Amino acid sequence: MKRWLQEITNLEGIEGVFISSGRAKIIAKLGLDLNDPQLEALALYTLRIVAAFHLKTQKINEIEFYWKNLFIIGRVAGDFLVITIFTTPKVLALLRITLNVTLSNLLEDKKFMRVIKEQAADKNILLEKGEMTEIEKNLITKLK
Amino acid sequence: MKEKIVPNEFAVFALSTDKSPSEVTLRSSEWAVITQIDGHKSVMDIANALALTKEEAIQLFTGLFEKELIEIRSDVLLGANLAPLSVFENMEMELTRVIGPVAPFIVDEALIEMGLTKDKFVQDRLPELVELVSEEITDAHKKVQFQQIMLKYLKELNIT
Repeated sequence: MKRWLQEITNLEGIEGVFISSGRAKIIAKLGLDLNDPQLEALALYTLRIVAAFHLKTQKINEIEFYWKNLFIIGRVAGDFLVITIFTTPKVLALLRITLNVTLSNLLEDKKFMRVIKEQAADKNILLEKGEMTEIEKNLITKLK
Repeated sequence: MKEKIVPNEFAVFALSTDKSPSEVTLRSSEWAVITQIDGHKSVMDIANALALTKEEAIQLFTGLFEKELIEIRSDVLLGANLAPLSVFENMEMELTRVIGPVAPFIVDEALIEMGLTKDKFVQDRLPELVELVSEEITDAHKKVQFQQIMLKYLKELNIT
């Protein structure tokens, strides 16, 4: 996974890159000084924009914005999000191509996709619930 | 208006002999650049003198050139890294594998859109060309395959 992130950070003007799950949990990061809660906030913000577009039935998989003298590009693929922070728009074309290739490789990386799938459903929350609802009990009774 | 050109930081301009700056309305930043142009200083020299970024300076010079107030003294591409013609041959070959014999025309059209030619193509702009050409590939999987191959070529040219 780190190898793919390195492909991105090796480009000129890249501050760093991170991968978050569809629940904005940080999976991996490279070259960033920001802490996980800050990155999660950024991931959540990006995911909200994506969700807003989805609600309008406009499927988007890329968001580019400018924040505090930094350029940010967020790419959504399946159940994960790759956010890259960079300082110069000069690298944009090359970065977009690199991101396309990186995302394609990540989607084919079985180990990585297993990690992502584990994040997709938070088992802990379900186990911590304690009591089952009537709907869940009904579902269980149908199981053989 | 003159043809669209995008000078690089090494270009040297002189004031136009046909048109005077007093004939047009200029912003203060454009006037500042005009006062510095002497036919010897490069775009970067003037950018440094006026505390402009390279991008700001290039934008101002492009605007002044389009207003026909300045002329190119040295070759715009002087000092720039030109893309070798083999890159375009490779690009056309790889694209032909993906979309067929129409590939060379797609590359030519993309070059026209960028206002550039193969023999005077600054290699820093190759990623833009790859991206533009990729837009013509409808199959998402083939598009990534093409970009992956082109990315290797770009790395070989030390474009990062």
